[in-house]
Amino acid sequence: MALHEFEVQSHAIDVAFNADTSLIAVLHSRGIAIFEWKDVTVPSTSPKLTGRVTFRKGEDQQPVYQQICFVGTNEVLVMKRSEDCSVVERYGFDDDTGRMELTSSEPTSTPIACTLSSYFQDGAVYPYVQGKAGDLHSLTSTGQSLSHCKFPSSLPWVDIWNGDGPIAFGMSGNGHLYANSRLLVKNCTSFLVTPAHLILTTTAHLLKFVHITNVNGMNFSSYFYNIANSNQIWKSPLMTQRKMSDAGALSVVLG
Amino acid sequence: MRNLRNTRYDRWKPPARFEGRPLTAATWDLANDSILCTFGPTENDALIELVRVNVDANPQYVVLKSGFTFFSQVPSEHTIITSWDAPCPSPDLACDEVLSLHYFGDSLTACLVLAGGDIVVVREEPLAGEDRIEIVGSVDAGITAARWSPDEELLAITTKVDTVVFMSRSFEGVTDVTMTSEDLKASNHVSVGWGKKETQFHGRGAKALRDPTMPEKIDQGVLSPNDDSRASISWRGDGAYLAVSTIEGEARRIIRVYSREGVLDSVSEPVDGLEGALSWRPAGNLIAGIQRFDDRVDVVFFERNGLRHGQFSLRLTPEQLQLPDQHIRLQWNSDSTVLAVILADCTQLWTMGNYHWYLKHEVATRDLLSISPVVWHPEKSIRFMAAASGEYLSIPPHHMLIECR
Repeated sequence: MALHEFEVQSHAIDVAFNADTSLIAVLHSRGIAIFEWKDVTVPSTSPKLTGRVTFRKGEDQQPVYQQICFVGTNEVLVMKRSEDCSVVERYGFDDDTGRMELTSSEPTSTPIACTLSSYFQDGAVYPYVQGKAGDLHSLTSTGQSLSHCKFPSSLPWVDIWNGDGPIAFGMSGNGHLYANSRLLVKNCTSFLVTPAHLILTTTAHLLKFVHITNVNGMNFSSYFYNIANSNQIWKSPLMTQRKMSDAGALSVVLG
Repeated sequence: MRNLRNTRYDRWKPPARFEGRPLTAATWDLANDSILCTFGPTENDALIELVRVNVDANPQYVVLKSGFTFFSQVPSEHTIITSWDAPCPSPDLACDEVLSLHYFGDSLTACLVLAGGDIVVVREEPLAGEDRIEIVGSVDAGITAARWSPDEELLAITTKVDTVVFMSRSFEGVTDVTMTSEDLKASNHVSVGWGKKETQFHGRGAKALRDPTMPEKIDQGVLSPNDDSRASISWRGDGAYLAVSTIEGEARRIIRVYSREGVLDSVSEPVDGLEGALSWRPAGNLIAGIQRFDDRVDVVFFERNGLRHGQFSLRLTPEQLQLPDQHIRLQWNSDSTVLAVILADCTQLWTMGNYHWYLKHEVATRDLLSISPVVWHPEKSIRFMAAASGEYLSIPPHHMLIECR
C-alpha cells in the first residue's frame, strides 16, 4: 500500500526529513539509519541506505531515545531521556573515518524536553527543543533567541515562523492553536506554517489561510475554503520551501 | 495514519526505604494528578504500604556566578499515605495479592481487593466514626479477579467457587451469579460466514451442495500452553456490560458476557489456544483476546454476542514466541484508538486505520506486574503508566510514565 517500504535494524521510533527531502533519518531502538532518496520526482527510485549508527551500550540503565531531526546536510540531532534529564546528541558525518559519529552530547537547557524540531530559513537549519512548561530553547548559538516564544504549556505540535522575529505556533491535543501565548482558535485539527501564511484545518471542515504579520495582528476571517472531510494537513518539507505564490504548490492530504 | 511520537518519558524508582518490598499495584489518582501504588505484601512480610507518587516534580534552578545556569532536579516526591498488616486469611495462598487498586477522587478513598478475599478501603480523610483503614467486605472462598465499572458504581468480583459477585459502591451485595457449564448453551453460534471462503460460490457440483453456514473446521477450545489460568474481567466503556474470561471445566477458556444486572448475555464461541488476556474496547464494538498458534500469536476480536469478528497477527521475533512464561496482556486506551499489547520484554502500541492494524510504537518494558501492568490515563488518551517489580534486590521496581502524541 505504501510507495516504498524499507526495513531498519530494530523497531523504528521516529523519522525526520532534511530540508530538500533528499535524506531520511530513521531513529530506531538500536541506532540511526540514514537513507538517501535521489530524484524524489521519479517515483520508482526507492531510498537507499547511506549511513548507519549503532548506539553504544552504556551503563545498565538504558537511555530512552525519543526523537530525531536534521540540523545540517549531514548532521542529525537525537533527543533522549537519560537518568535525570533530557540529552541532545549530535551525530555527524566524519570525513576521516567515512562514518557517522557522535560529535557531541549535552543536556538540554530545559530539564525535561518534550519535542525536538527545527525550522529552516535562508538555507540554514535552526533546531530547538520545547520544555515541559512550553518554553522553547534554541539549540544553536546563531539564529534568533526563542525566549519570548513561550506557550502556556507544552504543546505536542510546534512550528516556528521567522519573519521580523520568530513566532512559534503550537497546537495542543484538544485542538487549541497558539501563537506564542496567544490563543488563536480552539477547534484546530492540524496546521502548517509557510513563509507567508498559516494554514489550518478546523473541526468545522474548513481550510483557513491566514496571512502572518505579527502575533496580534492576524486576521482570521480571510481566505477560507470548505473541504468535505477535513482532518489533517500532512507537513511535507517541500511545502515549507516554496512561496505561496507558486500556483498549485499547495497539496493538502486529507486523512 | 498518525505516528505515535514519544514526548514524555519519566521513570520513578522507589527509594531505598522500599528495598526488599516489591511494587504490587498502581493506579492513577486524577484528583491530585498523581499515581497511587502499593508495596507488599510478600511471603515474609504481610505489610502493605499505600504510597502516592507525584511524577510531575518541578526542577529547581540555581544560577552560578559566572552566569551559567545549573539545575538540579528534585526527585519525584512520594508520600506514604498509610500502611497496615494484611495477613492472608486463606491458608491456601502463600502470599496475598492485590488484584485491584482503585482510587475514588470524590471521596478521597482508595479501595484494594485482595486475592485472599478481603476488600479494604483506605480513607485519607475519615469522617467522625469512620476508620482510616477498614475491611469492608470479605469473600471467604477467595477472589480470582476484580474490576470496578467505568462509572465507579459497581464492583464485579469473580471468586474461586466460580461465582460472579456484584457489589455497589457502598459494598453491599447487589447480585451474584454462578458460572456453570450450562452457560455454554446460552449462545448458538450461527455464523453466516461473511466473506469466508466456504460461502463463496465455486460452481455447480457436489461441493456446492454443502451448507455454507457450517464452517469447514470448528475449534474445540483447546487451552493454550501459555495460559496462566487466571480469570479476567473487562467492562464495556458505558458500564452496561462486562466480559469475564475463565477456564470452564479445566478444558476450555470461555468469555461470558453479563449485563450490569448480572444476567448472562452470551458466551464466546470456542477458540483453540485462547488465552486469558481480555480487554473490551471502550467504544463497545470489539472484545480483544489473544490466540496462540504454534507459529504465531494473534489478537482476536469478539463481538458482544460471542462471535468472532476478525483478528490480526502480532509481530513477534522467534525468541519472543518461544518464551515459556510469556503471559500477554491487552489494554485499550480511554478513547479506543490504541491497543497496548504487553509482552514479557516490551509493550507494543497498535492502532487501526482502514481496518488494517499498524504497530505504531514499541516501548521496552521488563518484569511488569501480572495484574494491570499498564494503566492508561482515563482522561489523557495517549498517556500511560507501566509498573514493574523485578526481583527484589537486583532490578529495582519502578514506574514508567509515557506520553505520546
